[in-house]
Amino acid sequence: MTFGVKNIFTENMDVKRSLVKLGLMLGGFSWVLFSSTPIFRAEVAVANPTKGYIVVLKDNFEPSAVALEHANANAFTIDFTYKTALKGYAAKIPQARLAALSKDPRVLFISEDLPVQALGKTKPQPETSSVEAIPQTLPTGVNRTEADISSTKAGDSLGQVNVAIAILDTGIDTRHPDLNVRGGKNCVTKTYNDGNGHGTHVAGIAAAKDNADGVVGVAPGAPLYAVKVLDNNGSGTTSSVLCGIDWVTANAASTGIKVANMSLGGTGSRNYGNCSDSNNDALYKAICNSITAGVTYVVAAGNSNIDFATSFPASYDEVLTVTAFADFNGQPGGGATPTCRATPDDKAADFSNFTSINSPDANHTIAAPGVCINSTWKGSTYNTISGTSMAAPHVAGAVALCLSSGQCTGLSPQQIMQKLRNDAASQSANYSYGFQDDPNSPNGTRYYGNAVYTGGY
Amino acid sequence: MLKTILAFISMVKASCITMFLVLQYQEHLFAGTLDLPCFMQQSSDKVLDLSYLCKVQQRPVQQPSMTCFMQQSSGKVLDLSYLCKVQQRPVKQPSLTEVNRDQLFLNSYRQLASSYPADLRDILLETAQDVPENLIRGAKNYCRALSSGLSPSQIQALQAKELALPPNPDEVQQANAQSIILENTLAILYYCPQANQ
Repeated sequence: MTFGVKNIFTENMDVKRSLVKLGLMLGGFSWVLFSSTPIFRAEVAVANPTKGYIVVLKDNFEPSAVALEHANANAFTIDFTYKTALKGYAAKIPQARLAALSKDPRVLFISEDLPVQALGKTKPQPETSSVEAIPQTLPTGVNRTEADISSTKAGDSLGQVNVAIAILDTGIDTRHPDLNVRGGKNCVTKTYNDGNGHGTHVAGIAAAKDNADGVVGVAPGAPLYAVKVLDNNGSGTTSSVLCGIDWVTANAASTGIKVANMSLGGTGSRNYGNCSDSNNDALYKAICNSITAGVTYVVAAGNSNIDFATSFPASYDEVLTVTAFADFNGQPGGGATPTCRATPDDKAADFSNFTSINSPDANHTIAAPGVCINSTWKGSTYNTISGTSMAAPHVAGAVALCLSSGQCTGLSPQQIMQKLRNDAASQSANYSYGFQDDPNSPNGTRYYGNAVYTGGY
Repeated sequence: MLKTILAFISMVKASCITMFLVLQYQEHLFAGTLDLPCFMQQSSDKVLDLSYLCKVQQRPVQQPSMTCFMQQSSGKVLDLSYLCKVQQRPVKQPSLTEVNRDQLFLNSYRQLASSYPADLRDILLETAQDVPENLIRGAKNYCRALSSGLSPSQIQALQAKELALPPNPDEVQQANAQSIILENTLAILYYCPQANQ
């Protein structure tokens, strides 16, 4: 047996000394070999047209075994197996085999695997990368939500929130000096590093460190987990998002994850409001199970300027759905000059999705700044972009802050959602805290929710 | 069992290559006083001693009698002589534009990364593709820190603190640690060759 580097050592240096050093190196550096994600693949040629599906199993069956059996019997490839948030698997399945699969008594239902997208609105234009650190500024959204007067006082260069946040997105720049990335899960490629920037931006809004550099988040320095469910183009599928939700649910206890942010979405009529199996929606079922495990889900409403009743996961009643409003100076009252986008100050963003006043969706809706938000970006840089993607992490940070301060201790995710909504409504009603188009000054029947308030946390 | 043995062999080969480059530029390029970053501190405060990388017998400066090269597992030999030629010139900046320098740095990074075991290699290469800015920034920051008077050991202590490796780092965290070692190694070749004069 020969090693490819043998001649290098024999020709140029003392072999014995080299081998001793090599041994020390291997012993000294804990270089752990790791196996890939336990996804098996049955590579079989498929003649029939295939589409992606999520096969949800009844709880008392082991997903890997059933998936393997199905794959071998029906000639398809398994993409993911799910073991915690739900039992099941995702695969490209020949359509001709669907009927037979659905008759398997172990199968609960089969969902179509649908595309999802990141919900950043504008084309990102990162600021020039610089080796020099940029002095910390208080982002307008952090200022507007009053995180600077929270228990952690974002912006005073002190303090850290200790409640972990999962960012289900394009990944996070794991070496960004302004972020406290503790780990993650890759459901798309090889690493949970961010090749897009969107996830890093979202992460910074929620939890950029309160230090001397860059920006500060609503929940400064909170431990972040990068759950990469979208690719470098910001695209994914419900199956990849399920992979992330499954990981979050399985690891929530060990990592301390209490909040999950999903600045992503897809379209389809998904609002059945019962969190049960009757709607055959695997993503809905998984989120409900994850919520039961104690994780509060914060999601973006979407950027199509439509009612989000036909969007998912925004329309799920059990998640806290966040619409976007514009704020350019960190203060209520309007009148500030727009910066990167021509939307009036302290008014609902012209792109933001909404619900209607009498819709059940109004009961899980809240608003946050989402226009011209400056935050961290991939490559250890910073960038200013807009979208309900940017609004959601303000609220995710608020949840972490509420838990960290003790204001939400012992509350279920549903109770936390209601507390945030109640506190936002109270602040807007009593202290001129709101924005144009909020429930105190509605735009017709549109409902955007009240502006999230973190000052009391 | 066979898989484990093959994995071990791959790991040994990658280790050899990395160490070879480190030792080679120590012995042939910067003979004498090079003080390499020699340890990595984990968040558990456990310090991984890599000082064996530094304790090379000092000897008088000598001209390289060979080119720098690296042999891949396929048997293909990569000519890295440009890495050495830069160093053979006395205190002279290579006439490269910044972009070219960055590109050469990244090319060398990819070459080195390609020799690691598959899982680690894939992460390092994906990182080089997704966030090359981080690698370049890391290398430049290393040089900046050197020029500010910090020793390599001090710099790596700071890097390790920032990296905050947990007691059981996952594969991405391990790759980040390896990446820093590669960046530091290549930084001196591309961004601050004068640092070791």
